[in-house]
Amino acid sequence: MRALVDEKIRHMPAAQRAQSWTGFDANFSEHLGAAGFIGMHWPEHYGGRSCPAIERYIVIEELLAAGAPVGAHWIADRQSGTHLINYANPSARNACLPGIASGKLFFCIGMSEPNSGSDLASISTRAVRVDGGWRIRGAKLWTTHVTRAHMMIALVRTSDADHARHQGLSQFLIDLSLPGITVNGITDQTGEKHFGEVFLDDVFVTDDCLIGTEGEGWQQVNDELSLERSGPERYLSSYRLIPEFLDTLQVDADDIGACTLGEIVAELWTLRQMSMSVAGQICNGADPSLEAAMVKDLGATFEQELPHRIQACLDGGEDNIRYAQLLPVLDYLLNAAPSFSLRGGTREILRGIIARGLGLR
Amino acid sequence: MNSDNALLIDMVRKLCKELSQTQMDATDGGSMSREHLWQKVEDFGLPYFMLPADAGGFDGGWATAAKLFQLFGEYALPLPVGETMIARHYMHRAQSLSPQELPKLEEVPISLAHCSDAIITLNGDVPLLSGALRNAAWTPQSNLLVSATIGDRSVLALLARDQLVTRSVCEVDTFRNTAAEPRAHLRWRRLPLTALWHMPTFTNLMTAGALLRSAQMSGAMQSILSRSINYALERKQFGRAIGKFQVIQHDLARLAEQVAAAQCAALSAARAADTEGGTEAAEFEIAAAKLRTNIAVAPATTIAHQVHGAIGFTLEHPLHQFTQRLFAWRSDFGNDRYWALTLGNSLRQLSGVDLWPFLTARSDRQVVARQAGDGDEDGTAGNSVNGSESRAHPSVG
Repeated sequence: MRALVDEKIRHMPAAQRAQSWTGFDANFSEHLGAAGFIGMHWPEHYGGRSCPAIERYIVIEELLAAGAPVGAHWIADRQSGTHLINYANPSARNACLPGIASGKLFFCIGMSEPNSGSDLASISTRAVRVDGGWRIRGAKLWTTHVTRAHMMIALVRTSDADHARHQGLSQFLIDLSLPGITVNGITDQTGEKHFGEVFLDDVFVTDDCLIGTEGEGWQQVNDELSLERSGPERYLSSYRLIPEFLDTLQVDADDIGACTLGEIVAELWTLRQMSMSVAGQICNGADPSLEAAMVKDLGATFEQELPHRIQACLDGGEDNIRYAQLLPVLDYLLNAAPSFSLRGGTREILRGIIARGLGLR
Repeated sequence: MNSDNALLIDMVRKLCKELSQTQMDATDGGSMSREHLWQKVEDFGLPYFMLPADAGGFDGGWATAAKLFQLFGEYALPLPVGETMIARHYMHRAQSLSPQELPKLEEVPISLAHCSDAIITLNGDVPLLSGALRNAAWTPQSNLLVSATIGDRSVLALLARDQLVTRSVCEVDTFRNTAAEPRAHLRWRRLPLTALWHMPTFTNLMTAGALLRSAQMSGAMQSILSRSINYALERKQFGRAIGKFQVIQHDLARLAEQVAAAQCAALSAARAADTEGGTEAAEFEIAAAKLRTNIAVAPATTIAHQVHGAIGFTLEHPLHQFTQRLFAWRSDFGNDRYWALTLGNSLRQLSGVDLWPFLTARSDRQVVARQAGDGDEDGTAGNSVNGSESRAHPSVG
């Protein structure tokens, strides 16, 4: 695994590696798929290798630590494919999973909308039953890689929520090349178009695009979010900064730098122990939603603070030659870090989940 | 964890409950009460927990011992039980390698320290110890087991309580730490040693002490978390329990995260000590665990006090039993500066590209060793947050 990654990304600039799991490189994904490292925990007839989930965990840790550009297939491998296996009908599974596993079919997540962010149950994109399928009308926003993904799993409203607002929601598999779909990228403050918006103008999808059960979307989306929130990418997004910082300490060593490195590695080690424990519990069939929320909040705080802590150790006059690796990585991560506690459930939403787990809600 | 361990931990929990109750009920707080408490610890056999069964012990490893250390913190035991367990473990190992005549010990606790500037000279056959200790725990009330490095060899010395205060060869500066536990700065000049062992492997009791404190601290944090949750659910203001306010809920969530991190760090380090073959070999994990636990002290104690309001700031309320110990224990067996520098300076020997392989090789080796062992799969992270079931709540995409 390390040799394969090293061969493919040896010449990639440090700042590009710093993009970690948001770095999009379709060629790399295809190569990884051909090597059997995407969907490796899925059954063989879907293109997987039936590996224990913990083996996939080790592989994605290695990819993240190296700064491999895994963004193109990341969402499909992490959640969409597994979610389809859990809920979609056989024709949808057969249509998508082998493509995902070969690193050629990319997914995005249709949850947030212009007027619905953290309050996900308030979405207004709507699917109406028509002859042979459904017509979907509405918009999704902040959708990662929407301009380059092929498919979207979207949460939409299929009936009014008369009694409880969590009812009447359903999930659909939507081919983004269908008529009536308009996609726009949105430039973020790092200068990249990582996310975007998608408009659905009476898009027709067939019956077999309904994922799971009509009206059960809320519970299903909860399960999907468990897959989304429990992985090691929730504390490793800034990892590339640590080896670059370590390399500068071999040249310019002082107690402040050594102390900061020691603290960072103590926290990193602890988060890794916590994250592996969550992974172990998932492998054993448990539902560690509370633990996963704690690891994600602690992890996001860690990876968000990391560039600031390292910046604070520098004297501001670092020359661009000896610090040629560290400075661009730091620059990128200072800009990217505010998103770490927004994506995949804001810090505030996670703390609400934790408070519920503590018996306070 | 197997069922025997669960039973044992249950019994130790009962003992801790009883001891902490006795302590809190004692109005005089005199030495009688302390000796009475210690007798109960001896009667239970706790000091011998880490000795082999054929030596009258329980064969306890570090992972199980750490769970007991957590209980000592969770119940704020005012006794060096963990120190004595570790000292007995080391003394037994040392005695089985090279038996020494031990100084006469009353059945009183044995504390731990590492002396980094020790010098040993000889007066005829009698070895003499010179050196200094700062912030030595539970001295001079307890006996003291001291490790030291002499040249390239490690030694262990057992100092009986009355030896520690022999005026002609000891300078003793006694004080109480923030939690009113006895501490001392000690300096010896040619103190005659009756029990001195030359150890075949590197021996450093500071690392074992750091693991002990890290586990105790995570236990004390568990206690302040449950107390804070209970208080937030009982205390009413503005017509409802304060725990119903989102701002309090988020504070308690942050507290729970810090407790989960401290517990996971301490228990992971203890498992590493078992699989690496001792606390010295697991210095990386123990350093990380003590440092991570230390880092949790400020946010954890601040939130607990804030949630408790003025009542938690009174002497009458038990919260300070835990928060003051957390303040004090942060400085025991290596403070943040010590362990951060130790870790940082040792990691600086690596180049950046080797950092990840270093981290994973250590944990892989530990996983493999555990799987080859008894199959203890008790590696849970934040598993003791009130035991309540979690219900997920979805949000943005």
